[in-house]
Amino acid sequence: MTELSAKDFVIEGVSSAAEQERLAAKSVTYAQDAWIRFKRNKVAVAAAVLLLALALLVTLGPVVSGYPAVERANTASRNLSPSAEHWFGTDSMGRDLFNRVCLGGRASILIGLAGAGIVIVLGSLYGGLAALLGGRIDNGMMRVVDILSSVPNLLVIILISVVIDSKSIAAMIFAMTVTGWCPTARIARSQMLQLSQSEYVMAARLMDVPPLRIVRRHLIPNAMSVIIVDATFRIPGFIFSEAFLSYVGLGVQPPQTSWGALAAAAQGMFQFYPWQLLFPAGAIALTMLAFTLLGDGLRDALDPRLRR
Amino acid sequence: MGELLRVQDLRVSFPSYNGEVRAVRGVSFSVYEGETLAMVGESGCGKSVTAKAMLRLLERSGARVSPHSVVEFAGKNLLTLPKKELNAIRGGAVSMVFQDAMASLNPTMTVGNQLIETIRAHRRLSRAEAAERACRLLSLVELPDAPSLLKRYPHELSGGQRQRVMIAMALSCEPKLLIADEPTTALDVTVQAQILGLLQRLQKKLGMSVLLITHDLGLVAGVADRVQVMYGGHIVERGTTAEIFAAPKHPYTAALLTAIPRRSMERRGALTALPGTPPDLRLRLDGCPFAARCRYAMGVCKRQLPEERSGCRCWLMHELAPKVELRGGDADE
Amino acid sequence: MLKYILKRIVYMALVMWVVTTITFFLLHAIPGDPITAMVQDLPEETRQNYLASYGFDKPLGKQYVLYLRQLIGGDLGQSLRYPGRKVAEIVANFAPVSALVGGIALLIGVGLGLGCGVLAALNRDRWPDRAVMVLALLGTTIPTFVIASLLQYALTVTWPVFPTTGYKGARYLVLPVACMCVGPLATYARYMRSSLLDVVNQDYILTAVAKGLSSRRIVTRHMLRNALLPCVTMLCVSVAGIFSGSFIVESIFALPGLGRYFISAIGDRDYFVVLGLNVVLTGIYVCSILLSDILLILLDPRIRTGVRA
Repeated sequence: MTELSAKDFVIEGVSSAAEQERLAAKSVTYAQDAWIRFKRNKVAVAAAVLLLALALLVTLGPVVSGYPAVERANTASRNLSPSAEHWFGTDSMGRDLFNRVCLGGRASILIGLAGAGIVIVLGSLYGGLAALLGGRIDNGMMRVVDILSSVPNLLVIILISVVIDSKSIAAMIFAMTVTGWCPTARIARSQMLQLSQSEYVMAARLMDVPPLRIVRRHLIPNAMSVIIVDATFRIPGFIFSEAFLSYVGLGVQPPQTSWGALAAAAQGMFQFYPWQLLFPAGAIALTMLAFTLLGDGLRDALDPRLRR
Repeated sequence: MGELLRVQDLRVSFPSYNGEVRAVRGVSFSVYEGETLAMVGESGCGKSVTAKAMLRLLERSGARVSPHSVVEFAGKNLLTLPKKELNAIRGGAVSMVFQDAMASLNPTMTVGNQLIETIRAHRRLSRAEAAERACRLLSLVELPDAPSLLKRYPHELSGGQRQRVMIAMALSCEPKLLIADEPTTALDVTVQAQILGLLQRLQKKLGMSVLLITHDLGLVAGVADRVQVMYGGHIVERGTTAEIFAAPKHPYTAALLTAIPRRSMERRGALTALPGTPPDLRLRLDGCPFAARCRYAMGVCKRQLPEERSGCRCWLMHELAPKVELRGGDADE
Repeated sequence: MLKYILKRIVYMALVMWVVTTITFFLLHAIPGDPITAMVQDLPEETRQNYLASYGFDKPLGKQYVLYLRQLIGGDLGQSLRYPGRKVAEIVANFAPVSALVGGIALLIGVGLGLGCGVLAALNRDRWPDRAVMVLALLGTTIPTFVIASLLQYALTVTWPVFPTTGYKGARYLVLPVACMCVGPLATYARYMRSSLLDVVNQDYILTAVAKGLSSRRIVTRHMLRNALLPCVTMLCVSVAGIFSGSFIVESIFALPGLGRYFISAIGDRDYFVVLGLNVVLTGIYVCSILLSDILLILLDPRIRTGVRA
């Protein structure tokens, strides 16, 4: 301890604002905090990178592989094992499997994204509207959601697919989204309700903040985080539904293909040519895994309760 | 009065993802038999952490208590006691009441069962005997219709009733020390007064000591024998209630006192507020934690932590420091 | 409380009505008529006969009323592909196998899943937690048909431990059950873990510790009991899912179950069977939701009070 003298005891008073800031706890905005937390979650970051890589692969894969995008059957090279010329081998019609998996990936991922996108938009609008209108209308709207939710999802999809009988991708997406928006509507509505009753919104109202600004700066950003997380989790669900439908024969039809269709076609010959099933199935699993991990990471990063 | 509990050099820190938060930075005090000791400070000063650390309630949340810290009760160091002995003391000789009774009671258990559970954890009684004792406890905390109350669930009671139940649970095994962590903060003002009154009556009746933790200095006046003021993880001033209120020695205490709204302030303008914000407890803070906000801060305050002299941890107590007149609770200009 | 249950039953009846109505109108939304959709080249007279016998020639409104009456009377329709085979018969014949496989798988899956979830939560961020989470993740993201195919390949072809397909005894059920319990295991492990972690951070656990209760008591009565609550309600829905989830496994292992029949009916475009089975499965699902509601009321006192109020 150093010796103290009289000059140490001259009153200086309250510290300057600059000095106070240095000592006070640094405040971090919600967005910054979320980004920091997300970056720290190595698994989630890896998942995000993986998905980007997958997206690149399915878009550019056929270009790189050296085989035409739409191949004609080549009976000479049927059911070959993976090799240098055919990275994944070939399928039962002699087409390069790597190519097929990439093409199928385009369809599967697109369906996943489109399905989730539609469901999110519809659900958010419906739920937000219900929350905003409130009262009897809100009640009625949610009753409809309840009834539609009571029907098991997979059955609805199968039913509609059977009946519509159109094999286009649009029809399939329609079948999958017809009741798929219900859980999102519930989430969106509960978020909006919670937020509109929260204290900081009340405070903002008291401070005469215009309602539109409240909606823009408070309601939407906070509701969005929950909805985004929900969307990320729905995508693998849609990919799986598509795979399942294709497996049952209701999905994508040739010449178009999807991972599910590839897997279904390979099912019968699995014991002889296992890679024909393993590659598309592996792609499905990997993509679903990546989206799930990403969703977990996003949820942990965006959850305001976990803020320091 | 004998010394019941002695805390020595308590240091508690929490590792977090952007630094280690040193919440309690060397706190020492004693609680004597039959007294009410109040620990006062704003949110984040470390008073709640101190209380919880004393009973080792923070182990699950990753808190680190310094191995040099000692919490001595009945001749034993609570911080190093084996689990079984600690459990005998927790809820028995030393018990605790928490702030939010709704969250602090198990929502799926009846009030009666939660009381009985506590009783049977410390005494060998049959269920029927424990139930009877529970009834008496509920009457002790002035809750009517005890037998039917036993069958109720926490969410079926009012805030005040729940808090009384929590107090009853804490009293169930005749504690020598009751730690009350912000027992009235979550309640309406009128109920606050009732609960405080109840605590006082119970204390006299049962002859126990109370460690009252609160951020409200105004509450303390009628209730506590001695007061300790905490800031930034340290105790900055201590003394009897009279001493603290009439002649505060620490600028922070003085500021707290002037910030209490009083009737005589009706015609004044704004309420007095302390400039600035509490310090970030992740930082080391070489000097006095209050220096940045203190109107009497000196050069030495920002560089070195003052030692405690005459119950006040402030450089103003040093012989070289200028003499200042701190405004106490009665200064109205 | 009885009033609440009655309200829920009425509500469920409403749902069933909506579903059957939608089912009906979907059936009749098929372009052309179902007969021609199934069997292309029928002589015109035969076709008309069939249409008349199934009542397709009557106006839509009347058909709907007849259909409802038929349903309420318990007649779920009959197969077009195999005339005379009633849907009710099909259910009676094929449901037991599905129930057996699904039921055992569920028991094992849920039991192990809950146990793993508890293990993970109590050892947060240590190796048991990470191991359980990884396995649970794999279990929920790897499609069932992949697992089924892999198991079948590994344990019937590479090492012929089990029979490949068919159902002629208990041994034939081992692999299907193994496949089907992966899903519930993973789901319930994750669910229990998150539920328990939620509970562990609650204030009332702190109170329990401050009361000096033994660790055992805190874990069993305070933590597990409260964490189990949300899982139990999910259980009922899982039970209903036994039938809808077995499609793939039954197909791959050629088990004579309801799921496989459902799929083959789809393939056959046997509309009445598809729709009839759909009604049955929806009915089971809806009942299970009702059951879980009732269970929740019985177990959670907070909801009980709300219901009484």
